[in-house]
Amino acid sequence: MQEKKALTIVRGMIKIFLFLGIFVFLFIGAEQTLKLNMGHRGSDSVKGLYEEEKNSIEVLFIGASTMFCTADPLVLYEEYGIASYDYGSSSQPFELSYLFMQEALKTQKPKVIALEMLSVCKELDVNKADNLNYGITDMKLSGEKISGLMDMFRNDKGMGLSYLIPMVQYKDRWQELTREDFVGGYESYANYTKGAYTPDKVAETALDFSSYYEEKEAVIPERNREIFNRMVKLCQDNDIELLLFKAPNVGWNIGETKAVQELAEEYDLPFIEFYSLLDELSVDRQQDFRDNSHFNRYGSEKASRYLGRYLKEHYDLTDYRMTDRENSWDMALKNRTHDRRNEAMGKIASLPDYMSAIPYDGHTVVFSVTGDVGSMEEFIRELARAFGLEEEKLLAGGSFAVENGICISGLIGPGDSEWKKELGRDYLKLTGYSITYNREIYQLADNGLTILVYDDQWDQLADIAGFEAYDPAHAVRP
Amino acid sequence: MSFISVQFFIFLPIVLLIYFVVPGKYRTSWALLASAFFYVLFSPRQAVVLFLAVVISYTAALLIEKKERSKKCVFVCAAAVILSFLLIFKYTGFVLDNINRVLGMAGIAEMTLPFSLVMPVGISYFTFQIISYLADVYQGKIRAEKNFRDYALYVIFFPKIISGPIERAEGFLGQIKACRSWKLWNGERVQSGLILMLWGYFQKVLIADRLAVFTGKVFGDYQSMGSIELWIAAFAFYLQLYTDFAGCIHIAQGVAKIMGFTLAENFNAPLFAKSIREYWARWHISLSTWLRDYVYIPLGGNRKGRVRKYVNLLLTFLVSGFWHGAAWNFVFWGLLHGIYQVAEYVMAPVAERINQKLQTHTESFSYRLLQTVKCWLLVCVGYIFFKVPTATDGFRYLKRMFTKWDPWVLFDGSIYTLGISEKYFHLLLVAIIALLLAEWLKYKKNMELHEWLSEQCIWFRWGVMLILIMSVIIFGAYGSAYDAANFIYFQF
Repeated sequence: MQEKKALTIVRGMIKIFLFLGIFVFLFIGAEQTLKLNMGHRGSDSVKGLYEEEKNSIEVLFIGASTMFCTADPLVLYEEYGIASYDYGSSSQPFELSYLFMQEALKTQKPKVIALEMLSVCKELDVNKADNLNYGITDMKLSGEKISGLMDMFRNDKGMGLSYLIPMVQYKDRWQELTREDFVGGYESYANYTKGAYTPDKVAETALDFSSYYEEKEAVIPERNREIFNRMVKLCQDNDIELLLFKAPNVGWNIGETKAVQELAEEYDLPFIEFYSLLDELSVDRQQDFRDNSHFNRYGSEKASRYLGRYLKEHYDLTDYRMTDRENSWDMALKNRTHDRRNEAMGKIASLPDYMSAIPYDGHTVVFSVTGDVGSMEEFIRELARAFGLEEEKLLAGGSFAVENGICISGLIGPGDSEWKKELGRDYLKLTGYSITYNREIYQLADNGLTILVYDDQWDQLADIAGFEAYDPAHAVRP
Repeated sequence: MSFISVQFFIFLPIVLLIYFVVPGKYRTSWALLASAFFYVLFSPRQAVVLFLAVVISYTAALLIEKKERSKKCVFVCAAAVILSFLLIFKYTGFVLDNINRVLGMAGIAEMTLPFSLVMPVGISYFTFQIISYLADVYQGKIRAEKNFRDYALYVIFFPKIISGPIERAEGFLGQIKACRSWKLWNGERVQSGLILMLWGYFQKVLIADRLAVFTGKVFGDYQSMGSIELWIAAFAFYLQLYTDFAGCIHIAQGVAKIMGFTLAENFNAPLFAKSIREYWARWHISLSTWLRDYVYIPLGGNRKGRVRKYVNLLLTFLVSGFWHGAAWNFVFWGLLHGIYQVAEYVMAPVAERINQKLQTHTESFSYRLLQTVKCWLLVCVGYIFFKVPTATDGFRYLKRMFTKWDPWVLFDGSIYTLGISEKYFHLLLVAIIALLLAEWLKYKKNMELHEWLSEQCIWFRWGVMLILIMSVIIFGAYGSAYDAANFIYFQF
């Protein structure tokens, strides 16, 4: 009797655990699918830091987008050998910066923390969920995260708790899910930009900083003063030098600069404000900005060089370029070179330039000839010869794929059966008329040549361009 | 603490855990303590009213049983005191508004209360419950409960204190006594309770709260809406009200079931009712039967001739309207349902004759379907008065339903701009189909979803449970982007 009872209990327990197991599996799967990948707005930087080698970072930049669009750790490394990292998220409230500081110190022991002060004069607006989600979503669950949220949501702790479960924040995204949400995801979260986001986009008009000098009274909210005090104490306790800086953005005012200056003096901390340095650094008000709030690649390079110089002069930092083994900044630099090569190829307009820029190493390149290509006959013949294909057949139309410089498909003519190859998560399909990649059919030239370049190393499409036979100087892109 | 609050999801597991761990003899004490805590969290000050009502009714019931000669006097006095709680807290504002309206017409200054009156949560439910208990003791149907703890638990048991169902003492006190000797854990019972809760949350956060956005927009701006939107919103509000209330009741029944209690049935597939009479036999059953037993029958019911029966019906539904809200639109809504019922009685022979003449197959599916559609139309029209702020708004809404036709809104996508996106609209349709299937099950087989599921194989049962859980989590209207909408029947 007792045995039967015990068996019933065991069976009951197994059922409960099995059910809970299936539920947890489904929940995690659904949450991962629904959770928004913030990319440069937060995910890359937050996830990336967890991938960094323990105690490898000497200078940690913390702050909102103005921080990660200003300080470029790869410039700092390439030119000064500084091992730095941009740890922040878009529109990051000041309170969140403190949480970021705590989180970073769990795995890193930086010598310097450079804090961007954009949000110091703003009170936390708990109703702007995105401002918190950008930074919170990918941060690992920890006591600091929970207590930080409870502190931020002092008046509505239930709401604070909801930020701990990304599902609650992102469940409504089911309406906007794309294929990428189901099949996407990084294999490694290693951040190859070290948290920086410095695209080469140029602002539409020159930035007008005249309003900066119309002095308005600015007050740092008491709450932010309290948070700042905690930051200072945290740095002191961990023997870290705290450096304050303010990147330029339209909307910030000299009054706010003075408020930060006073704060810095009160705590005897250095403060770099870039407004007065714009001319000294020869910053172009249009060419060096992406928009009203952010430097672009060119502006960030200038600002980073200044920061690098300042850091080298004022702190005892190691030159990591001199170390024997390859570190993650070396890797990041290589990846940046690789990335920029792909990026540059996407801007080439003429066919001859394009052909000479194609990186066959580590790439799959696909050519598709369609229609009447009489006016580029010689070029097509050359192409066929280069890859050992039948010239006449290629002139009549057809497609072929090249991997590491070797043709792997043979020539697929209009009458031939299609050829397929898996490329990363997607597949490539060639017919005599077109290229199909990621379920999209590409035939970008009616009478000419379509070229697809796939980066095998990064598992991503590098570029796709079409060249009409009558106008090979102007590439057509989708 | 609402059933959809974070606090409740912390409170419930703690209460249940301790409930299952403590020895049987302490279970009722723990349930009482938890119920008191649950209520006090809503409003500590108003808990005094509840406490007084419990003490007065407990003492009065004992006196009714002891003092044979003065029992009528005790009963009347005690019922009057309990009723006065309801009248004072719920209707003072309404009476004052109307007096002020009259005074305003006569040019006399308005009267104001020197203090603010906040209605205790669930007062409509616990006062009716107490009155029924006193009446049953007075009529000798049940014995007065001597154990104060058990009686207090009967009145304030937390799953039902806020929105009912209005429990009768006869069955519930017996369950309280029995719960001390129940076996510690009953997997099937707990599973049934969980499914009931899940189904409740599905109805509430997936259907009711989504529809609430749509109905809120249309009813809030009905003067600029066309007939199509107004008709859809009227139907949607009926569904919203039903899923909101039934959702709340299912959660309450689920929690109670896990704890070993069976709460009274409050709904029996009202969406498939074919007449208003049948509708009231299926909708808010605990209130309908209460009104039948303690208002309609004492008024004479159908024993005093046809005219008195109709008058009694109208009076009973007037009370129902007043019970639902202290405003004229609720009174009108109640009266309308009384008129519906009288009209059904009056028209029944006429309809029968017409059907005979036309040789209508009254047992056919199509006839029954049309009857159900007719019932829906009548109920929906009634609920317009339930939703709008004043009876005048109700009539205006009704007028626009027939005068502003523009079917193009069904095709140009503008219907999706009223708070529910196209995808959510489709999702809602799927959820409503699931609801109708569950209703059909109840209607045809008199089986609740959890009863039917318990007959299915484990994988199917788990599959349905997981679909319900994940649907509630992913598609439910909760989180920072939503204002937590409380249950509509909380306010009554």
